[in-house]
Amino acid sequence: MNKLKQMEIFLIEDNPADIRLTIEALKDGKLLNPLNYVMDGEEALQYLRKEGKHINATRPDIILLDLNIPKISGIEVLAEIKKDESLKTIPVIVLTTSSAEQDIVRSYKLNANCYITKPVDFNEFMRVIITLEEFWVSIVKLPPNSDKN
Amino acid sequence: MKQFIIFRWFNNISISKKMYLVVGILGLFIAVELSLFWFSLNTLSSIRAMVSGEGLWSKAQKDAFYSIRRYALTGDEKDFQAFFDYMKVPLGDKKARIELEKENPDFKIARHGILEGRNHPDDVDGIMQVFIRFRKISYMDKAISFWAKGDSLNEKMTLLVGSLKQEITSPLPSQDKIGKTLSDIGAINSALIKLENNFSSVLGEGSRWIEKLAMRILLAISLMMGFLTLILFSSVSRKIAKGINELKRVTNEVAKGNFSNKATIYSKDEIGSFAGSFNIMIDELDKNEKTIQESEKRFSTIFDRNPVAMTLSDMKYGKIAYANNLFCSTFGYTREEVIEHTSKELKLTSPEEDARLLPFILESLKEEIAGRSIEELQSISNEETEKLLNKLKQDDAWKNFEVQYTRKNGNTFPALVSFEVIDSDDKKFIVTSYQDITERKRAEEATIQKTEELKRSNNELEQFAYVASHDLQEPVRIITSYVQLIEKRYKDKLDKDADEYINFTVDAAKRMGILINDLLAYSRVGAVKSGDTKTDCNAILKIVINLLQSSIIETEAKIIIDALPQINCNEIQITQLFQNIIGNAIKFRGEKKPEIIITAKNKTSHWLFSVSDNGIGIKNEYLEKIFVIFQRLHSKEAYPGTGIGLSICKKIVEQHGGTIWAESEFGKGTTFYFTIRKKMEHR
Repeated sequence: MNKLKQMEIFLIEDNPADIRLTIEALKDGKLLNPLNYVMDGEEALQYLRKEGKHINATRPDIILLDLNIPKISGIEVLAEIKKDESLKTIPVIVLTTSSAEQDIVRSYKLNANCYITKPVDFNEFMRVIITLEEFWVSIVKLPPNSDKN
Repeated sequence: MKQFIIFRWFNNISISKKMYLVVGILGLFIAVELSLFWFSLNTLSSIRAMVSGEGLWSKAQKDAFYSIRRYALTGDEKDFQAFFDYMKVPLGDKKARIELEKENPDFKIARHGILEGRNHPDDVDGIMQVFIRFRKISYMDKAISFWAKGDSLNEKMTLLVGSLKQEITSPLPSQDKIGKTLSDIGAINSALIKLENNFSSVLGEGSRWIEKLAMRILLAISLMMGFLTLILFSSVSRKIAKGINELKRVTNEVAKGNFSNKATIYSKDEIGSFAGSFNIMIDELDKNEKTIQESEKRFSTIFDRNPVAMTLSDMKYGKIAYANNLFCSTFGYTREEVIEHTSKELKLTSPEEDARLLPFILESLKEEIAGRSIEELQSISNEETEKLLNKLKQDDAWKNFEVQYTRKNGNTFPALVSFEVIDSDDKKFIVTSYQDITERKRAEEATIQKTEELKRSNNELEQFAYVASHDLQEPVRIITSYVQLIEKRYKDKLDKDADEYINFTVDAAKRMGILINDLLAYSRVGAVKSGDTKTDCNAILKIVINLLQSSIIETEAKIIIDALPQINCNEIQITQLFQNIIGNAIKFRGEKKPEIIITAKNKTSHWLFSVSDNGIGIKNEYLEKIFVIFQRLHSKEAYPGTGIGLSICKKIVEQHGGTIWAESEFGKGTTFYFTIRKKMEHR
């Protein structure tokens, strides 16, 4: 049943190479869920709050968040999401190059749903993206999307 | 020459002998004088006896004469006989005279004769002696010749008396003849009277001469005696005075400190030997003085060359008695400027500094000075000053206490001050040393500054390594990923060369990724504080074995673990430490199955861990190099790795206040040792 239902993935990532890489990885997966992205924290919050040019944006089902992004940092974006009653149920997957203990701790303290360090190896990266997609899209039961209802 | 010998001898005898000698000579003179006196008395009395003998002689002769005249008148035989009786006296004398005039007189006969001359028996010897002794003297000679003439006249008279008796006793005495004989006898008598007078006067003259002579001799002897005494005494006293004056002179020189002057020894008597002893004493004094001077010089040299500025000042008034070279150069004064001045007069400390120091001093001595007025404290005794100084010295507050001193030019400098009370010549002195610590302070400050800089640059370096490796990771990951993407999408679509190139690029990019990751881990060891939570090492080892599970199983490694302690540490770091070392032990295994033994020993301040393996071992020359970052001993084909693992271990151990080292037998195995401090300091 869920397979028929398309899950929208929202990527907050400033590096175009990583964006493309994520897209490529998802391409290799079989699910073909739609992916939207923004390249800084400010725009990410505008998108989620449907502000400005993102007035028509839809509420994403999963957020992939890089911590190292311009304007408003990933950690701040995470904090904003988890403070927002309408957004805090969306699973936020921190996907970053940092493996620093403090980043991990801070992320979980702000209720990140999981923390993943981007693997150096592309095959690994691909595996991570596909696993994530499968896990969050096919396996996990998420609360109903109030926006869509 | 002989005289000189006597003088020298006299010089060299002792003073008492000299005195005895002088007294002896005087005694001798007195004896001579006395004997001379006695001799003269004796002689004079003998002459008197002789004169009185002459009196007896002439009285007897007169009596004889008168007897014969009576006889002429009376014809009485008794009178005639009386003549001869009287005549016995001159005859006795004559007998003695004749005997004494002989070469070898028989004194018995002479004595007998003299006694017949009715002389007193006591006078006999004197008469005989005078007779013989002065026989050759003109007076005596004359007297004796008068005596002899008298005797011959007596003989004539005796003859006339004989013819007179013949006449008187003749039957027809001729009155004329008798008268004539009597007148002849009378003439002889008159002649005799004359002779008698002559005899007496000659003897008188003689005795006066003797008297004069004796007096002169006595006078001469007395004068001589006086003179000699004077000479002897003056010579002896002069010699004594000379010796004593010499000693006095030398004593004065010695008193002035001149020891080169020696007393001249003029004689070998007591003064001479005293002078000798005195010279020995001067030598000893000189030697002592020199020893004292040398020792004084030695000490003043030490004092002068002491690498700390020092003064010696009297305790009572605080006046500087001596200051060493360094004191003068440090404070900028000449020695003359400081000596006899107090440090207050020289303003070695400014009034502000004094005001700063006073409370410290009062605090140190509060027990001693409690309840006493300033006047009381200003007039305390030396003993108490010393006690207070010692008390001050013992107070820990004054150890390494810095005082700001002021030089002559007004500049100030910090110094550590210390003092010592010493006794010298019954006076108390204070030796104060001023240790200029300007340089030390400067060096200390420089060290602190350097340490700070080092810390900062170290931090910066760590920060740099972290940021660099963190930021580097991003592009490396992108490169790797895209090369792999190319590989994935275009493999077998390009030619064989392209495939190979892609392979190399992928390999390099992967390795670079691992390198950067390890570098990041290394830099984090410094960045993350080592904790002080009690951690059970046995639990850590369990985790480590779990982490290494796959390679342990693969290599069938045997790991033997001792009972390990609980230590204060950063758990993550120690886990990594064991993981790296045990991982290496498995990685660098030999032909045999790996066998790894882990022990811990309790040392006083730290734990000593050891990890031994039976691996390939490390050559001795590389034992230290292995801890250097990026240092590899093998090709990456033989043993892959970045060469960071052991440098991370080293950093972790150092973070825990320990050291790490390895011992190895090449081909047989390696043991890694590391220590972990028991009490971690918070950094």
